[in-house]
Amino acid sequence: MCKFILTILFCFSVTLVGCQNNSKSVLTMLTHDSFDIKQDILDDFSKKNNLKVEIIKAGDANQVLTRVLLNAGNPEADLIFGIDNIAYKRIEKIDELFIPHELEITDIISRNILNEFNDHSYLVPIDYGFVNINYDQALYNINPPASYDDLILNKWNGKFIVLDPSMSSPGLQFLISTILHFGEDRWQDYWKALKKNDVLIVDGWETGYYTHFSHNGGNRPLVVSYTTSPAAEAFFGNLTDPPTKNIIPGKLFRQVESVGILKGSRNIVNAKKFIKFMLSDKFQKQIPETMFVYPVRENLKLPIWWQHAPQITDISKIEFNNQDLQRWIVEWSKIMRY
Amino acid sequence: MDSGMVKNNALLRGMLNFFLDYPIDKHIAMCGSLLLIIFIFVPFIQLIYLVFFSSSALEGNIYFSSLMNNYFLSRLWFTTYQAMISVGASLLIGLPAAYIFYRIDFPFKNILLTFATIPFILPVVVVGLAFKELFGTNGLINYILNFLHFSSINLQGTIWLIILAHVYYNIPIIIRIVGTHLQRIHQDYDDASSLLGAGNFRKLISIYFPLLISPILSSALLVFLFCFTSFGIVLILGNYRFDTIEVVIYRFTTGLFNLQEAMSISIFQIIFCVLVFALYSKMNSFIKSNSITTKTHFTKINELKFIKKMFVVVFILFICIFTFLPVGVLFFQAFTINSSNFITFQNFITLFTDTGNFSYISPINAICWSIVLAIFSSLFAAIISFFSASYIDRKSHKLKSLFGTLYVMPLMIPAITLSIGLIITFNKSFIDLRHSVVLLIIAHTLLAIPFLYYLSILAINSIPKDIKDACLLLGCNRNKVSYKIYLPIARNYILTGIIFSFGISLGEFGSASMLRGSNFYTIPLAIYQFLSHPGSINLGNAFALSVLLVMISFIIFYVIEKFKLSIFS
Repeated sequence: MCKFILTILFCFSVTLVGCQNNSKSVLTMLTHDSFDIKQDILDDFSKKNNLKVEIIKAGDANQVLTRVLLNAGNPEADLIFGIDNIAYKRIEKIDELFIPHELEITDIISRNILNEFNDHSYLVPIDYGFVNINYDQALYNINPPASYDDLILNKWNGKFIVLDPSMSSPGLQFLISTILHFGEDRWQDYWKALKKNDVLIVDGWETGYYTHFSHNGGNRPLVVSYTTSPAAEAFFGNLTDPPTKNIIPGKLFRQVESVGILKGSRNIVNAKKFIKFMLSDKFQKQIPETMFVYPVRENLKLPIWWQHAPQITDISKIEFNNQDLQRWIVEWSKIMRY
Repeated sequence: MDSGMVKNNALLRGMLNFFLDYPIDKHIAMCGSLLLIIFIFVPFIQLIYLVFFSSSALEGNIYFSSLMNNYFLSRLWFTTYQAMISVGASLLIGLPAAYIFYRIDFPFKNILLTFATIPFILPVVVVGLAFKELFGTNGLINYILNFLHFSSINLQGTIWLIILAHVYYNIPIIIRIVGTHLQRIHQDYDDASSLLGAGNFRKLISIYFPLLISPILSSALLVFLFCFTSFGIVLILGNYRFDTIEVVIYRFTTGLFNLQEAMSISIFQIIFCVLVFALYSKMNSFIKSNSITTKTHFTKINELKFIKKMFVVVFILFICIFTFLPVGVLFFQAFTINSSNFITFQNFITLFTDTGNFSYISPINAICWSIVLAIFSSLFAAIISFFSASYIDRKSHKLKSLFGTLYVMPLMIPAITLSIGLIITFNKSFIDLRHSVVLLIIAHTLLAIPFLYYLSILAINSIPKDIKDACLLLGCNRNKVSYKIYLPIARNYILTGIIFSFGISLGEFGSASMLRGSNFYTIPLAIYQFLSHPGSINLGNAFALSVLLVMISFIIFYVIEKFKLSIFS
């Protein structure tokens, strides 16, 4: 009996030890499902630094943040990519999760992007993006709505798809954009009007874009998506003129994604090397093509189809904390609930 | 030399005796329950402890506050009644289908039966896409209705579409669990009652129903738990109008970062499910275990009376259309999206073309990983379940209920809390399983155990008690009883369970997404990967990969089905 249990335990532990990676030259980075990189430049980096880079995708951005918070001090990886300026507000004590990167970044990244993270000694911005409205050109190339206010006109009744901010990160960004545009006291009325105008709420971008958007066979021509989606359509379809177009309805919230070194990492030197690599021309230049967001470095030579991703120059900042976020989501749910 | 031989023989005999008397079932049952306790209870309790008592990262939230408000109560009501309607509807379609598939012989039966199991493996997002093409405002159903000059219907965003999806996913469970049992009811019962003048209805009430009540209850329990904890379907097809408790938990966890609230609701959900299970257990205890031991008898379809034959044909057609349609949509889309002509293989070609990106998942890799995962988790789950069931068979009713609760627990625990619990529990030096494939195999094993355990219990309960007693009385050791008596009867049940377990491994997304490491992918993960970027080429690839998933599952299920038949004869 005893022997049997011991044998089982032994086999079990052997399996566990066998599955572990104790080799020292492994750098691990935790990230969300949308992270991507050109394999050859990653291989170049690994070869040059005699490293093995392991990239662990652990669900969507919110799930990754939850994991990092719960594993504070005993991290799963050396680096984390994907903490954005919203998730950042949800971290109460940043020094319990991250260690300072000590890199000189102020002359590479513009001041207003750095300012998105109040204390940028922990997190390094890598890319940014905007959530806006896409419309289906095949149906509506005559007179698409041009502003937030147009969307509540009767003309667009039953035409618009939004995303649930308590489930989806772009959904939350769009909610923040409307708060930015209308202000803390007027956004509720706007959403009430949207609801009256028969807006469709779906759980996430995939459902909105691929199930209900008329470009993909649905029956609504307006969808909350990214300013870069038309460019991506052009890229994947090998087209000069993308089948979907952007609407910039007013003020948009800018999402900035960052990378940081997790506290407890035993591979700090290499982690810093990797951050430097992520800021290099080589990495930054391929960001549009792999992740379909804007690189933080300016004056890069970007591919021609990227012209369909407009630069938003009118950036306004909004101050909020975790309590505000929770309050916004709860208020939004109360307004939109059926 | 000689004495050496003798010694060797004695040693061999000793070893043989040791193994024969060795209480395998007891130890495997212990290992099984340990596995469930370590990988379900410990993570859950660890998470409760962390969230309620010790975390500094999660301050300032109040807990148990939402349990009393109207919103939550209305969600609880919705969750319960949609689950009950789904169970009712699944039974309504599943039971006649089980009868037809397992009592009547007709051409292409095995292919159709295999096909009827396919819904079980389809990732929710793919079913959502297929349902749009069928039930959307521009969908096929409305096209047909318009063609016939009926007014069109809009099912999107209604509870009926959710229930339809639940039925679509769950009829394989009813058909297979009830059918496996139904197959073994002796034709003599039927014939004898006919001879004595019983009509069809009378036969149903007095012969079939009493014999089938226990598999019906078991499968209804599994379907109820599936629908009660339904997540993806409600999320994707509900358009924000409907939330199950599981969705509310997810919202609190990742949207609001209010883990305290999420954990309070999780605890509530588990208690509620355990109460449902207690009800099931109580009902089950009233049933006398009906023993059936016979060979299959199939009625040829041509021997049936005309009306019955028509009914069977219509029903088979209905089942075919019901299961074929969504899959047909997938095939149609996979071969027509991005095509300039009518049919294209373009989507399959780009699927296998390496983009040179890190995120590119080779379909071959994904398929291999899915199959490896499926094989290991099915094997573990089958061994644990069978031996646990044969061990528990001789124990008291109380212990049986306890084991039953434990073994069905994987279906009760909210997936998101379990995944997070696993990640925070197995994070210390030598048991750091966070990125190891072991954790994913264990997760899939746990998800498969409820099916295999209940099927094994059904099989073993159906063996007459006097046969079991006689064996033990005649000095047959317990291993031999397991091997010679239980296994031959349970074989078909276990194979049915393995089909479900394969289905879970091939189609499961949630835990695979959170628990995978850096090097392994399953097919559903790859499908989601394609759907995370805009561009019709990505949509086409997602459809193409779904088609591959359907074909692979079909082949696997068909092989298992064949194997089942061959050992039966």
